[in-house]
Amino acid sequence: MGIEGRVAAVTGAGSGIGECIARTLAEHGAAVVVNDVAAESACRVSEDIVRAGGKALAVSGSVAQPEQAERMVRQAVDTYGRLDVLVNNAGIGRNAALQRLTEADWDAVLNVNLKGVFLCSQAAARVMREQRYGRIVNIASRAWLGWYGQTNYAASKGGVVSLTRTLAIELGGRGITANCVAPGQIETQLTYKENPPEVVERLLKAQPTGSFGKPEDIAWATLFFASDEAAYVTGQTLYVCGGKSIFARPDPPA
Amino acid sequence: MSVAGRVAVIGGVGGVVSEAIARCLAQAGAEVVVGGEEPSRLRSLSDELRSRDRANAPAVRMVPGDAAGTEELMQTALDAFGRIDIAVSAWERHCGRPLARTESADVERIVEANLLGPLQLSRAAARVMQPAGYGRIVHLSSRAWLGGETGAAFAAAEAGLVGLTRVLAWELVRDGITVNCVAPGVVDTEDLRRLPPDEVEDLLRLQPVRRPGAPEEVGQAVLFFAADESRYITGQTLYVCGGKSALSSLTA
Ligand SMILES: NC(=O)c1ccc[n+]([C@@H]2O[C@H](COP(=O)([O-])OP(=O)(O)OC[C@H]3O[C@@H](n4cnc5c(N)ncnc54)[C@H](O)[C@@H]3O)[C@@H](O)[C@H]2O)c1
Repeated sequence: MGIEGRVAAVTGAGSGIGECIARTLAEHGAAVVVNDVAAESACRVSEDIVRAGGKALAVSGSVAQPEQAERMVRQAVDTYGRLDVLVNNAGIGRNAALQRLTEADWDAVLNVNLKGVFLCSQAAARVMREQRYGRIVNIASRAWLGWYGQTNYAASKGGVVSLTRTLAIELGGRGITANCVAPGQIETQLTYKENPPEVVERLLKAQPTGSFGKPEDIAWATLFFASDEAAYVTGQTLYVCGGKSIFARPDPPA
Repeated sequence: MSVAGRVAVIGGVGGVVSEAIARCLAQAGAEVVVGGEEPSRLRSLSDELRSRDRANAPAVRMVPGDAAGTEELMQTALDAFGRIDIAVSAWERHCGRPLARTESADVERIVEANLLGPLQLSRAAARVMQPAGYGRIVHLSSRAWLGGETGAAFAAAEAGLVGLTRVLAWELVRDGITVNCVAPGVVDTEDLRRLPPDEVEDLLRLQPVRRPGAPEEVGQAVLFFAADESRYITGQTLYVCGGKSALSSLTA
């Protein structure tokens, strides 16, 4: 798919899904700005890409800080001359049932997952509007449709779906598309860190396919939306969830 | 995208969109078997889609929804290549009339082409794919089912495809088979070119991307779902509509 010679920035690319997206875009010929709040992780991924013969640059920083979001975009343009693709992938979870959810849990999740997407998109769109070309791909989550213990997380991702539609509407005339990939349960540290083993067991049972998805499955869908060929696709949310968005057997916690 | 060496059957070739889908799959390396109603268009597409080993793509004349014709399409693919990995239903019979002013025979024709054709094709394909443990079924629906000013019969049939996609996905979810749907908005087709320019202008005002989509852009979306890599995507409908589903339908 056409991404050769494009310049992409991927946030939260130091591990999990973001790391896989960064590697995949690089393998298909894009120069990749690897962002993560964890500086060492960003450097490791960027070095790996370069060692494999790709083009990459590590830029650490939090997507939730306006000046750091700006800096990521500026570095992309300073180094590679443009910014064609932004993948808003950085995200965190702080799962808790409603009565145990703290205000701090709410703020932390909304700041990274929703405000971060706004800040990075705004900074990137400034460059993309000038170029009259851009692809914004936001990693939302199937969970925005609702799930136990995810009041904050689901709302943040629902916000991302909604924000994406307005980005598409506002930027559509400028050659810029905005779409969401909504993963189901994917095998990354997020899945294992946020959920004790018995919950992982339950989650696995709730998968229609009987298995979790892989980061590669999300990277594939991201590559499609990021490609030249997807110019007429905008404002959409594609679930990569093994069918769980269609129908799931609820298995409420005790 | 990995469809190289895969065998694809496409039902409903005849219009430019279905032909673009066939070309996209063939150019990406799939063996293509096509079924359609119009002998001349079927023949020229079949000749165009010659592959390394074959002078033309196998083609079957069939009317949508006909069980025997559908079986013949499957059997032709099996005889030629020994398996079927990808099945695409590409029928698209448009009708923008209000239901009260649509002839009852036309209602039947709309349901036959847009819904019955894909149902029979999916059923026949699933029976071949289930024992093989691999499959990619893709339906061509339309953004129009989400809402518009007219064309209720067409919308009803296209909505049926979305429901078919969602539940068939579950029926086949443990068999290595995915079922997805591509729903185009305004596309540069023969029908669109027959409209007066100011009507086209009016249509395009309803969407963020102010141009009609190219048939190949629909083909690329079908190719995406048809690829090996789309293994974890099933039951989904992707709108290829320049953002019209977000701006004008206020849904999906
Ligand atoms: N794993 C899943 O099952 C799953 C499901 C649905 C959605 N998602 C979404 O996919 C995305 C990636 O998740 P993952 O599973 O790879 O998680 P992960 O924890 O493996 O990776 C997330 C990365 O983001 C980084 N990060 C966190 N806060 C940041 C910030 N403020 N600025 C920049 N980087 C930051 C982390 O350091 C980490 O490297 C997230 O948006 C997540 O919500 C994941």
